Amino acid sequence: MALLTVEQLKIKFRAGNKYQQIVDGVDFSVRKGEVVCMVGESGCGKSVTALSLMRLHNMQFHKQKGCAQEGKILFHDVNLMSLSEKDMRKIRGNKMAMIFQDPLTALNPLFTVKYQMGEVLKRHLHMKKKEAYDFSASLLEKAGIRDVDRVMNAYPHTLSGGMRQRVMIAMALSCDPDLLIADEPTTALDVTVQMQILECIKSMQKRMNMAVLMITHDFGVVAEMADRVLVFYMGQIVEEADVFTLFSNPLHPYTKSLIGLVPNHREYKRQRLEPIKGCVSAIKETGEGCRFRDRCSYAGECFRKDNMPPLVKADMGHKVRCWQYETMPEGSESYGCHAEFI
Amino acid sequence: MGVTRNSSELLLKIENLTRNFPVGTPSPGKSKNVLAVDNLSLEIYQGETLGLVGESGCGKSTLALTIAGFLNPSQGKIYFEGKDLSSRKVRKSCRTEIQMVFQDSYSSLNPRKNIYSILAEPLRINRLATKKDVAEKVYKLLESVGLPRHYTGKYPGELSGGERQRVNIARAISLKPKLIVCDEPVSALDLSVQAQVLNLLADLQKEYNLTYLFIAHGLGNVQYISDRIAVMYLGGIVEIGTSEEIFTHALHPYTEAFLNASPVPDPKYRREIHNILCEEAADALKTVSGCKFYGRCQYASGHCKENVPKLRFVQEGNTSHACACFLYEKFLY
Repeated sequence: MALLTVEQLKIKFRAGNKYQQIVDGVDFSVRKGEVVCMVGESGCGKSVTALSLMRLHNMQFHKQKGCAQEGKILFHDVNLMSLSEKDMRKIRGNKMAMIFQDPLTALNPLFTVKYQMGEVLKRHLHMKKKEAYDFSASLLEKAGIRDVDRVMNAYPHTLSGGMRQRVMIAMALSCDPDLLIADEPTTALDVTVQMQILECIKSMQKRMNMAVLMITHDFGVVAEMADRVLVFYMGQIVEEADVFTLFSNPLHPYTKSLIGLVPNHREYKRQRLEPIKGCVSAIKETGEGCRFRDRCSYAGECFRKDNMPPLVKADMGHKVRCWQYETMPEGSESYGCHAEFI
Repeated sequence: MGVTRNSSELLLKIENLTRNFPVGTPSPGKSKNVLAVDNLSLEIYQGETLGLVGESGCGKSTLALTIAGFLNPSQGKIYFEGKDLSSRKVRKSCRTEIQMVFQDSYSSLNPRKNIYSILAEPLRINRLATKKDVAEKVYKLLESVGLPRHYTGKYPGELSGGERQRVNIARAISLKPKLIVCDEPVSALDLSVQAQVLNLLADLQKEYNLTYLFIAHGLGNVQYISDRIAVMYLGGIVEIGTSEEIFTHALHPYTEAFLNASPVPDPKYRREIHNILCEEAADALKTVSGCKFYGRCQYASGHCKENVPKLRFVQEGNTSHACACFLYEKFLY
């Protein structure tokens, strides 16, 4: 039984007089206790997808009709898109919580940590002040903070980046959520701190058996955390697989070359990188066909096909959106794309 | 490689460089100094790429800015081609020969100037082009970084991050420098663009016989571009060697932990072990008498607490490179 099911999610933002399709028909599900990673380059719609699950993206746009949304988001079998804002508020931060890339802007600079953490507990779990204080202190301890008393009375700017992210995690987990959405939680952090935060998320996830939907562009983080991976390209999922299959047998040419580009310091080799040719074009410039075909070196036939390749099932739990994945050579190494600059 | 070079190829030599910054209240007696770069010595050879890695706050950017002349050293000397850069006259004459590429491609370009004037200005000021051939030279620069001619009319805000970084690189090579200090030039870029920019840097190096000091906070990209890698910890270099030696035979406990900390893009390397760097963040303000890594090192002994290890060549197994750690005292030669 899936905890979260997203069906044909489409999100458009207004740019000038036209709408721009940012997320275009995304389908996926997250099961209980599972870690799903969304990867993709910037601008591929992964963050907007995540924000729309929490219904955070259209708050400021709603009034000006700057944003249009279609599809279904089923969480515990309730369609979040048809909920009233009042009911949504009961879910947000309670059964579904989110941590962000930049913890400094996500925390309120005017309030101490204890106040901000207590606010969540008072609101959702109806705790008293003293109770909330003790409970938040225990949460911070679980998130790996040692001098809890100092941190509780501190303002966000006095804490280090890693500490702030731990506070965010503790706060997000305070109501024992079923689903944690983590939007690039470690991108702004150092390698060593990144490792600590990932470890913290992982241990909490195991302890509470919650599902985690993690957004990242770092394949190292994916390899470390994920059970299942969704690869995004220009607002669509182009490949979905469990993490071991994705790294050993990627099917989509985009995934293949991306994985080929990730430096692996465990298997040292000095060689020339083979970048994907071109760069991500604006969505409006792509025609009806496959969106990757301009950058794909196997795309001979694909230019003649005018419709989008469907996300087909290639194997057990392995889906790919490509016309000719069956005829391509296997693995990421053999993918020969020639270096070409813009 | 770095061991057997002769001194004639030496391009930049840093001797006991120290740079400190005052922190906290400036009142007398109370002010504290943070040693961003602490008694550091380093040599960069002609035509090589030296990768410099370390956690944030270890002083890599301060070192870069000091080399490029944005900051003055508090103590110590920098020699460029044998000339002492502390003299203002020498510094001025060497100014075109050391250039820099920054991490943030947007804030390092003037948003109110178009690409043409950004690239023409250094040529004009340094009298490297006459009024007639400025345009020709600008087009040639754009071409060498793989941008089309019509980009001259654009403004930095109209370009993507990768394109802007190409403009930055074009500006850096416009004065025909010998050394380019790259301060995390690809950290802010997307994965596929990173690869393109790294390849561009490698191509330009061959074409113009450039020397790079390539700074990064992660290990990922450094391995593709570097001949040698220096690992920095709290203002000092703890290990330096060819990149193969660093990646395959890391000696210093910090390098080892740092390598372990970086996530590997292959799920079969998933870690279970608790890394020692988890314990405590590096604090540049704390003054220690002995080895700076003492508090976080799992091999530390009493000896490490009292004495400062020097960077010395260590031969162990089939590797020989410089490392600052007492663990290898017995392998010294």
